[in-house]
Amino acid sequence: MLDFRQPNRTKQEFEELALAHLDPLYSAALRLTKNERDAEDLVQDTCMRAYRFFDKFERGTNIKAWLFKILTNTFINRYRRKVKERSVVEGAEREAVHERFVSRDATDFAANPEQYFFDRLLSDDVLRAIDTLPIDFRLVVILADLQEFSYKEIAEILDCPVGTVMSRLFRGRKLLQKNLRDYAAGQGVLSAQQAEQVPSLEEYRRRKKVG
Amino acid sequence: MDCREIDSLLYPFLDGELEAGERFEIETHLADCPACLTRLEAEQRLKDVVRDRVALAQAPAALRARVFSGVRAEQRKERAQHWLKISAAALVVCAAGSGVAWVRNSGLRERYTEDAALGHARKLPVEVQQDTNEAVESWFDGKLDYHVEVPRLANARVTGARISNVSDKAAAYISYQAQAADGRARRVGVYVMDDAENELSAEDWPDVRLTQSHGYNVATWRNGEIVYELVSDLRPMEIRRMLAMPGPLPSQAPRAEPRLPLAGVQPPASPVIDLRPVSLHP
Repeated sequence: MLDFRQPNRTKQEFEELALAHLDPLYSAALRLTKNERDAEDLVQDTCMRAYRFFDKFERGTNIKAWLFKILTNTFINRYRRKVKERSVVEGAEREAVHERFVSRDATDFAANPEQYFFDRLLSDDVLRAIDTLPIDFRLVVILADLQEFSYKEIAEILDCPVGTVMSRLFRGRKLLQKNLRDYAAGQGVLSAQQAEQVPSLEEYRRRKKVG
Repeated sequence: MDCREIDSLLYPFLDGELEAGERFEIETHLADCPACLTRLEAEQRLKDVVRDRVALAQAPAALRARVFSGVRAEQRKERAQHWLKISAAALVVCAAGSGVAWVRNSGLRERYTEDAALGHARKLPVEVQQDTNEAVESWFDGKLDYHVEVPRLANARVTGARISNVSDKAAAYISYQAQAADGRARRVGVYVMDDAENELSAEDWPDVRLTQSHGYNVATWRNGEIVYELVSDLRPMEIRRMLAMPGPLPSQAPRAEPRLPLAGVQPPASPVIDLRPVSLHP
């Protein structure tokens, strides 16, 4: 049937709710696309899509998570192909990365007086270290650290299980520390990797129950 | 809880994913273990650094403007569609009423008159050659989804018929040969079409509207749901006489003299030359 609703109200609502998140959307987009022009295009596309589908957004639910889901999907569908980024670290490489971490002595971290070395790194170095993360890791680190989304929200944004979010976050952060360490060569080693495997919260809870 | 367990729970702890009991256990351990506390603080610090550095980037004013104008453009489009919808609905409402219907129909009427004149001018061959009204009527039987009654015209005889159309309406075309006042034979065509919806707003017989199109005189009248358009290069007076035959439609039409609004018909361009086209067909 014909819909005679005036679109004005929706627009106003959209501007109030959605455009309040323009800065975080842009800073996340910048880390995804790695350049300002593409980041602006990505945010613009995201906002236009969000506006068109705004009537599908459930009032009262988390608009920020909704916007970031659109941003991520738009990026994956459109820009990822262009940027030609590998979606995952291939098995062998992932194992190698993991091996390097587990081989470190667990006590390094506490003993290291340069543990806050990254504070002295230039802002650009930190960003570069983030940008060199494979996209799947970069996504979860940004979603968790920049926006402080919960694991459940991230899982919904990325359409993957919570367990995947946790393991990507773990690996992503460790890889990030390694990157930072590389930039801060000579300033001491930051984090040792104590874990022999990706920690599993579920497993811990199961153990507690049994014990 | 030992240091190894803390490792596996460090991130969920920092990310606020643990339940109160789990948090308490970790906090208890941290109170007694400076090494784990230091590690935790470093990880927290790194989280903060990542957040702060990434968040340094602010949407440029140009982007903000682009998004706003994009939303506005989208909104204008929506509003245009919105008004289009309203106007379309209004048009339907009015058309169901009167005003717009009249304007629309007078345009439609002219188009039908013109199409009838042009169709007749093309002088397409007939599909069937019959010389009685009954034979033509029975030929049409079943070919159109309405009954075709062949008008009886004075001084004219049926020569044939074909299925045709006027504009987008299917029509029966009946061809006649008439005797003009000057003694020469003239071609007369009558279109018979269904207009149950009354789109053509033709006058009810015995009123007949006489108009000109492409050099032809076109007489239009309605009988019930059926509209007739007679096209000929005969003069209006001759058409009037032709229709004045006691009932061109004997079964339904009242026996009355057709009231041709002759006053409304444009006089010939020159008083000497009759209302007659440059003859396309002698």
